Amino acid sequence: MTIVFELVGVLSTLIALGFLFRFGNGAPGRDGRRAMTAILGLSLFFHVANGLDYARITPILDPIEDFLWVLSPVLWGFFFYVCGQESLALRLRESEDRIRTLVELSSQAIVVFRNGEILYANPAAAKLLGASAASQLVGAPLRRFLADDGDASFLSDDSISGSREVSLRTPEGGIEVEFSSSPIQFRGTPAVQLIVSDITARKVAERALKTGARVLQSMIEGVCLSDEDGEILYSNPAEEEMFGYEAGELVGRDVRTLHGSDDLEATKLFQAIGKSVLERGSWVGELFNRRKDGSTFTSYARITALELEGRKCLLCVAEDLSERKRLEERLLQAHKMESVGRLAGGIAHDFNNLLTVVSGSTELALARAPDDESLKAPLLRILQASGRATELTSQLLAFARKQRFTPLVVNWNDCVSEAETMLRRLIGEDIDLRTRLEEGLWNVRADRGQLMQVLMNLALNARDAMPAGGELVVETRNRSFAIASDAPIPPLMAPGNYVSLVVSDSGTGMSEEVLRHLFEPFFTTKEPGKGTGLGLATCYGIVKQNEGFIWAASSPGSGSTFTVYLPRCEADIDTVRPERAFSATPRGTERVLVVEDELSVRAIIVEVLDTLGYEVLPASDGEEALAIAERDPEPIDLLITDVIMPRMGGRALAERLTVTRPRLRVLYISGYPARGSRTDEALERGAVLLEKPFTPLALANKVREILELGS
Amino acid sequence: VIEEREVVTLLLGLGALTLAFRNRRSLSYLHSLELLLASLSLLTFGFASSILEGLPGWVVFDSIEHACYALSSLAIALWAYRTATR
Repeated sequence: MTIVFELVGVLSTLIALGFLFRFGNGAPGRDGRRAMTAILGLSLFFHVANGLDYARITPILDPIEDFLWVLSPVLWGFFFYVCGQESLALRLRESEDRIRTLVELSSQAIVVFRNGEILYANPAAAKLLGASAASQLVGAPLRRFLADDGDASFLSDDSISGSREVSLRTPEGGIEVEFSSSPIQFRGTPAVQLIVSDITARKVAERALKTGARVLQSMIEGVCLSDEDGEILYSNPAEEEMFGYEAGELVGRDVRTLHGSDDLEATKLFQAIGKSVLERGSWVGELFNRRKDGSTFTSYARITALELEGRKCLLCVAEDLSERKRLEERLLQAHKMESVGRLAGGIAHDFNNLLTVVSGSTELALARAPDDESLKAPLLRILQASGRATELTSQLLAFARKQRFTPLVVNWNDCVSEAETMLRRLIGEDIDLRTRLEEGLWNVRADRGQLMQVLMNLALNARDAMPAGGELVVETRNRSFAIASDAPIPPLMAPGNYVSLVVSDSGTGMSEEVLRHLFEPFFTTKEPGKGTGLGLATCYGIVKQNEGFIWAASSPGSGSTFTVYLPRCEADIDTVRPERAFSATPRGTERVLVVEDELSVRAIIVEVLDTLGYEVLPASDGEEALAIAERDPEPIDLLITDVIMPRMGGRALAERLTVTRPRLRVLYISGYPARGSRTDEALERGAVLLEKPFTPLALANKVREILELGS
Repeated sequence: VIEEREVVTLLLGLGALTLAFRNRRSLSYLHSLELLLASLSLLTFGFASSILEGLPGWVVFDSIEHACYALSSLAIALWAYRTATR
């Protein structure tokens, strides 16, 4: 039986030995196979020895058998030990292969360097740095790829770890990368492994985000983002400022608390806007808003739908319309005043012609019937009324900025000082007048008489606002504005140097409504008959004519302040030549050519001059005047001509006549007396003008003055 | 009679068996490892039987011992076959 076992053993061992040389995967390595061969060899020996032993053939093998008997388990132990070592090496190799594959196939660029020199680079690094193969990078200095040499300091440190952002130079241009470095052992020596991440796109996105955030922060328009429930998710500083909230205070609030006059209206509005945005994608319109302090304002808003992280939101871009509405109102007011002014100016011109006739004829009638009391009284009343009408016309012309004015360099302090005594008398004892005049006040270019008129009108207005007495303060100041927004009325007032006159009173004050119409002609809050409503309108016209600004600030019960700004004039004060005055109506015998297209006016001039002894040659227009001058061989001393006439104007006529008669003097008359108006355009410099309406005495004085200057 | 060398062999066999079982995870890369372990186990059992056969009345263990050696060789042959033909 034992022999059978041994035979089985021998056969099995031989089969095993046979297969041992055909091993594939999963088999022991070279050393393992050697150990197994030894085991099998020993096994074969024992099976043969045992078999022979039992057959009592080989007793001589016993001593060797005893020794080899002990060796058998030792060989098994050695076999498993060797296989264990082989397994370890195998796993290590597999692990290395796996890591190598990972590194080689990684989309992340990986570089190993020592002392700034590249020792290893994977294909992704080669692609990033513009090399055709990773091997091309081995041995290259890493510094070569850095766009900024300042970033190269870390290259010499082989123990550096952490991350840094640097710019790289590549054949395709500059890119921005993040270096994540860690010290490693590379082929047995210390080195640094860099994982290089291309962050160019991230940086561009970050910069775009930052730019977007800065744009939002610096936008003039308010931006507000709310979710579909109305909760505010974001608001920019302009929005917070517009609604009077602190930074970040709006976030989390209900957007409905910002709009509408009450919560119900706000809810309805919110629903309507939501519906419109859903249907048409946006909503555009004016919103009525509430500030934190409860005050209200209107804004122009554009609301669009937006989906953020799965939430439906409303994005509102709003612009505060308060300032725009104020400006529109101001502009509208200015246009209205301009239109009213034009109308007033046109009426005043025609009135002047009529008044010249009325007053002239009345004065002639009075001169001819000095002793007839029954005629004298009504004539005097006509004269008085026409005088009053002349005054009104003059005021209308002032408002329409068509008042004849002589701009000179003057100082407002002089005007105030000069007027102070008169002002005190005018406003009465129960009003305390105080003047605060700035020393070294700049000069202005304006008509002195008009400045006095403004001062008087404002003082009178203040007096009427203080029926029970009070305080009137007249103040002058130099004011400079470097930029337009510093000026009190920025859009209309250019930056520069100005002289201001401030007239303030402690009177009853005015309502918003009154302030809105304050400078309109014939607007008055006084009782009928107590004011014409032209005082402040005149001030407005005068200030505008002198290229200045006037506005009023007031509220009921807290007095009023009128502020006038005139541009500074660098020149010195002009000296004024007093006009020559005649003690009585001057007379003469000179020859005077009178040219006036308005028959009634021509007639009155002819009659006045004729009465005064002059020889008068009347003509209805320029052509007739030229014909008279051509026919008449005698010298003509004076030409009195209307400035604006059909076919030939006064100036053209004068120019043609003075060619043949160089000693001819010229006196212009006009119903359009304004500077900058048609009259001004039609006159040469230094021409003498007599404005309509004029009295016979004024005409006589002017005629005499010119003739005497000529002689 | 229990021979000293048989005891030493048994101890070495048990030691080799322990080493194999303890490292069987790292040895798992070997194909049909269980046959190798079975072969060594049978061999060790044969070593034990060799000792036991020396005791009076335990002659049967001589046959068991040689059967174990034969089975052990058979297990190796099977392992070698499987490894070579996988």
